[in-house]
Amino acid sequence: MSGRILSIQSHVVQGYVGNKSATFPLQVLGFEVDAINSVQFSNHTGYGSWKGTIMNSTELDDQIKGLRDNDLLKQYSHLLTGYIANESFLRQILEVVKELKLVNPNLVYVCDPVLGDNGKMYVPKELVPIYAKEVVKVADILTPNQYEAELLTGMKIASEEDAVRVIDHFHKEGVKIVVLSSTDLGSDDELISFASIATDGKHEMYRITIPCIRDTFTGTGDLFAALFLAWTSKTDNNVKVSLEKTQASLQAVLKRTMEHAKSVAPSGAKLYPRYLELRLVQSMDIFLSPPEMCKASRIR
Amino acid sequence: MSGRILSIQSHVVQGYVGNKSATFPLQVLGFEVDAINSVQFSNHTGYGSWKGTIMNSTELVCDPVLGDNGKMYVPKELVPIYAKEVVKVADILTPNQYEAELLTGMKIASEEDAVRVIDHFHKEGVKIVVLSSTDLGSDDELISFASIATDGKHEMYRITIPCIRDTFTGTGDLFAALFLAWTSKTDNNVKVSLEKTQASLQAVLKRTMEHAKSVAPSGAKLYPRYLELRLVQSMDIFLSPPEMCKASRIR
Repeated sequence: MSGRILSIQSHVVQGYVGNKSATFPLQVLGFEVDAINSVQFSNHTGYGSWKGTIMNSTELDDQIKGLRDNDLLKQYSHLLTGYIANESFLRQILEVVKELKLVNPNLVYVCDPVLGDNGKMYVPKELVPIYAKEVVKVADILTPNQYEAELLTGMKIASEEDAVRVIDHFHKEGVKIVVLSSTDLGSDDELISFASIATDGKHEMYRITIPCIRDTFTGTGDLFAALFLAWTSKTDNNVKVSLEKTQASLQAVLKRTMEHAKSVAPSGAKLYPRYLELRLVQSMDIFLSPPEMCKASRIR
Repeated sequence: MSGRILSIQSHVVQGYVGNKSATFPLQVLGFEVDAINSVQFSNHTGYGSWKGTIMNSTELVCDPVLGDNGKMYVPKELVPIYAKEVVKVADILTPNQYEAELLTGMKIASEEDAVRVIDHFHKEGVKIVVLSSTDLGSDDELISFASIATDGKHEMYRITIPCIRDTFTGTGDLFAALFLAWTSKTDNNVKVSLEKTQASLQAVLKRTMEHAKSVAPSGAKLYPRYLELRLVQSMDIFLSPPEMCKASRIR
């Protein structure tokens, strides 16, 4: 059974981040994607220079009004949000969540709490307490990376026990499905990732170790959240299988992207952002049939 | 061989017109699509109400959208700009009958008229001209023409295709996107491109109509919300357009 997703993220003309990263894979997997583009930039900011426009909270309110006036808000099965640039927009998103859940109590809010990565915050710090105290309480699926999970809980993750503790915290705040999309608990070429589902107070947790490529890709977190949404929806919340398929898809796309980058960059040249844009359009096969890779093991 | 397309069209949050109509099918067919969204609306204007923002100063596109069925839906000042300037720099032009008549000042009441209009566009420098739809056939038939100019010679085709007439939106945008894709993939074989584009379009419309009837309350009018194109559900159609009618060469 497919759904209709309201996805509020950035749009870039060239390249793949935000809605550009999430939309095509979700459509290939049969989901209707209604994208509200929170910004429209020529390209992502990693290029050094970019041009474009940014939506403000009033304009977001207006887009929702347009949908409301046509009685289109109750058809959404999912809401998906990613990178949000400022406090007023984040607060407006909270209003959107409230309204969507009022008209459809079964709505699944998938929140990728984008705050930063690798020890660097790339949003204003005022967003952290809003995510931690308000957004987390209304999210049904939360997909932080290790850095974001640490920021949101105030806890450090240096072991599997720490990861479990952090996940338990989010479940206690009301999040049904928690995913730590990446952690540095493994070695340099290994990704250790966790997914957990809370049912009747019990937490069913899985861990997966997957060989990975580390490089400066962009849009991977957005792709992760989109694919995880798709697979939990398709498997009726089987987080083990969803984690396996999502990570396998992601690594396969990154591998293809890296191979392409090496083949088009001048030999010996640095792999600039323009070479490393995700090869999404070329990867329909991967989305439809994720390769069989590593299995997740149950840890709780 | 695939390409990278810069597509400058509208974006709607819900539904399928403009870039929303063009992008997914092109991506399914392997094209990179860099979309500049000239507007962002909640939904298309056929719903009666909509909200959103408009980008200022947009550039030309090759689908000269002026109107359809005798009704103009852009400001009339655009007509001479399209006719005198845009047409001169377009490589592929995909007007419908109404737009072709507006841009040339000629009426199309017969195949000879269609040929004359197409010749006019070629003389203005357009390499490939497509009349995406005309009313030359009966009510349930679509007659469409495509022509390519090579070294001053015009190679023209005509196709008759059984069709559904209803108030769909985004079909012209989808037509232009698919025709772009197929001419690119077939190295400008306009006969095959016309056949595959029209077959894909009719198959998507048929699927859309069936879906509309299955979800609308019985006996109810088919409002715009029911008739949004079933694009996401039609990857199979884009990848393998059904074998339908053949185009015949007329010049």
